[in-house]
Amino acid sequence: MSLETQSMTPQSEFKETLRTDELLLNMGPQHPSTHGVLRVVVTTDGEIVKEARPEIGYLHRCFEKHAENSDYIAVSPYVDRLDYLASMNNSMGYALAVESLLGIEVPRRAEYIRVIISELQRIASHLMSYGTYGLDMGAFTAFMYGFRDREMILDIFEKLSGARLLYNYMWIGGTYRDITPEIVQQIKDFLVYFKPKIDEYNNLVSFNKIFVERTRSIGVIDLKTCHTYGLTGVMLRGAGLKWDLRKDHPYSIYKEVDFDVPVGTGQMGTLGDCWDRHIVRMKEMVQSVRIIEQLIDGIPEGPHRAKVGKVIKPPAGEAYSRTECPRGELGFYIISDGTGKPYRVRCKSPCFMNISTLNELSQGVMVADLIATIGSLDIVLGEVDR
Amino acid sequence: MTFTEYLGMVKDATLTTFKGMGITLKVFWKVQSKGDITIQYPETRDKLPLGSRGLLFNDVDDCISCKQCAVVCPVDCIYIEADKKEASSTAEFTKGGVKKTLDLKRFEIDVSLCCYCGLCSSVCPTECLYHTKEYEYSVLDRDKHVMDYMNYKR
Amino acid sequence: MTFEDIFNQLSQKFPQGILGKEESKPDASIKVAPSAIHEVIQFLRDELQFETLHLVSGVDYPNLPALCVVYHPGSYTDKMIVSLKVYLPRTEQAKVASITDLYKAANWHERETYDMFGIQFENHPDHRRILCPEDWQGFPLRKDYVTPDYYNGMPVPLFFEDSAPSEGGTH
Repeated sequence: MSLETQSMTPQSEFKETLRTDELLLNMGPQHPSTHGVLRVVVTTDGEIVKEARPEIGYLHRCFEKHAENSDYIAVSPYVDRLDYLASMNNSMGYALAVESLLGIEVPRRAEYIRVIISELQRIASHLMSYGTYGLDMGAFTAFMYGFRDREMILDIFEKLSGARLLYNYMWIGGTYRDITPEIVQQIKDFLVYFKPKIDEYNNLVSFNKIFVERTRSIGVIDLKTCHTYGLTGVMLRGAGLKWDLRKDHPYSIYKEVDFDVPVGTGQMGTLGDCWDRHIVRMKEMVQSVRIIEQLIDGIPEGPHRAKVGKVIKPPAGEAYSRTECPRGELGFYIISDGTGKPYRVRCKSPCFMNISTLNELSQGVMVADLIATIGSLDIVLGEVDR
Repeated sequence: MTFTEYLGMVKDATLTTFKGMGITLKVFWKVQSKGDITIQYPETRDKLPLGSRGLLFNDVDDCISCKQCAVVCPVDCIYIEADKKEASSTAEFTKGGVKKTLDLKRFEIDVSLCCYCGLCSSVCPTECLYHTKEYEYSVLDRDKHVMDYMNYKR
Repeated sequence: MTFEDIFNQLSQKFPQGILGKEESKPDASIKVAPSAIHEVIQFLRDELQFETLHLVSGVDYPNLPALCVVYHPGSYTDKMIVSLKVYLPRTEQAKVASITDLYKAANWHERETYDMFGIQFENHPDHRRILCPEDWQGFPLRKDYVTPDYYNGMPVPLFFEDSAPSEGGTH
């Protein structure tokens, strides 16, 4: 090997010399199935995978250092760009952390709008995960149908905040702009259109024999693995534990809405396999529609933002806020020292832990099953690398 | 597996495949009768709603050089230089009747750095800085993305 | 169980290990000695049902001077998170025991804390940088970090001093 490639590969690969009947395959940073810039170094024995080691850091923008040099209001656009496919949930988590440091209360109208918009964003993110998972398995139609419906949600968000993907909508103390009756009617029309579509998607992809045979009993994560790796969200629910932060540690007005928490049952194969996680995401979309229907007609009057002033200076202290994002439990640990800029902002991203389990999940499977496993983990590299 | 199990698997596979194809056929029929879902860009362009955050524009006659936009910008892409007015010069007012106390010398925005967050337009007190609906402004040279609003020619 | 119960139980079991609590609002935390952190977390996991580890992060306090490692183990039975802080001297050899054998989640979190702050973790199975490239110099999240001008021949900052548009904003 030439000197340049030797300096780029880590030392552990040269510690043991490569056996001649094993192939070192580099699923490089540019790959259509890795959902971003992820590099997986795969050692295979023929078609069976011996080791699949993920290498991350290709999208590292050091958001935590930028946050230390910006005001509290100016950190919001940076937070949007963490998990760029579920941007509203990220900014809600950050806003909740700063509001608990400040000790202010958010007006009721803003709470209603925040929960409706978070659930709409959850539907959009799960549609994206469903579409790209179908695309990885070879079902191009699933991608097209998922994106057609996601466009309708993006149109609603564009009317509301002015942008299609990175909204900067959940400000500290409330929301950026108020919601109009026209947008409320558009959300109601969307719900009427979308409810029968979930059954259609299940018939098209989830119960299709080819999809079932490719995803059942693959990538099994049991409860013990979840606990020791710190996995949350759909991983826990797919493994059978009925845990949802919106019910067990509620924030905002989730105490006042009625919804179920779907769990995986091992219906098609083993409990905690890729199919279980997929069907949990489809069922969560049904529950999100149910939550929006309960709230959309009763939005109270009032201001859409609390009075916080131009410069935000929380008193010295620490806060840890937890929110249920589509990909897991997002945590923000903020330390404030009394000035206008945060002292330390640490983001606990769920995808970071999800991708670290890849080596354990893919021992002894075939290369095509590796693709199925990565797709079911539903990672976004913006959140893994921050 | 036994032969009956094998036949059951064949039946499952055929049924689910035909169910899926029925769904796609329904959508195909609907599109044939109602028309395309896809917009053929660039022949037709989508209508953007009110309040869309596109390219920034500053009406410098209304600007009072408070520098609020430059302070709040997360990426520091707004460059403002303003001097104190001499006591002998004539008083200038904005369209809304606010008296200008500073003389604006330079107002440039580097739109290649701008992240379209909307913070600068929301803190502007005279609302002279606002987002237009423009999104097609690619250039061949990166320096041409530094927009100079003092010498803006229509 | 509340935060007070846990603090009292830990102070009784480890009188030398627990150095007190930090009463910051709204979330208080427990100060632990660096030599005792492994036993404290093992006690939390085995006896007090803290099944999972949510976060390991680092904080730099150049005024004290100290480097701090913050652990956030979480419990599903009690539905809570507790925050443990370990203060280390701010030298090149800031060392603390790794808890990778207790929770596998600590593997990547400790690698990131080493990458960003330079804190060494003893008995870590894979002690190398995770987010920055392997041959990056310096620890980015320390308060006295200066971005290098060049990395392997490529310029690092967006503008150099002589060619930047002058006076960006008012910073």
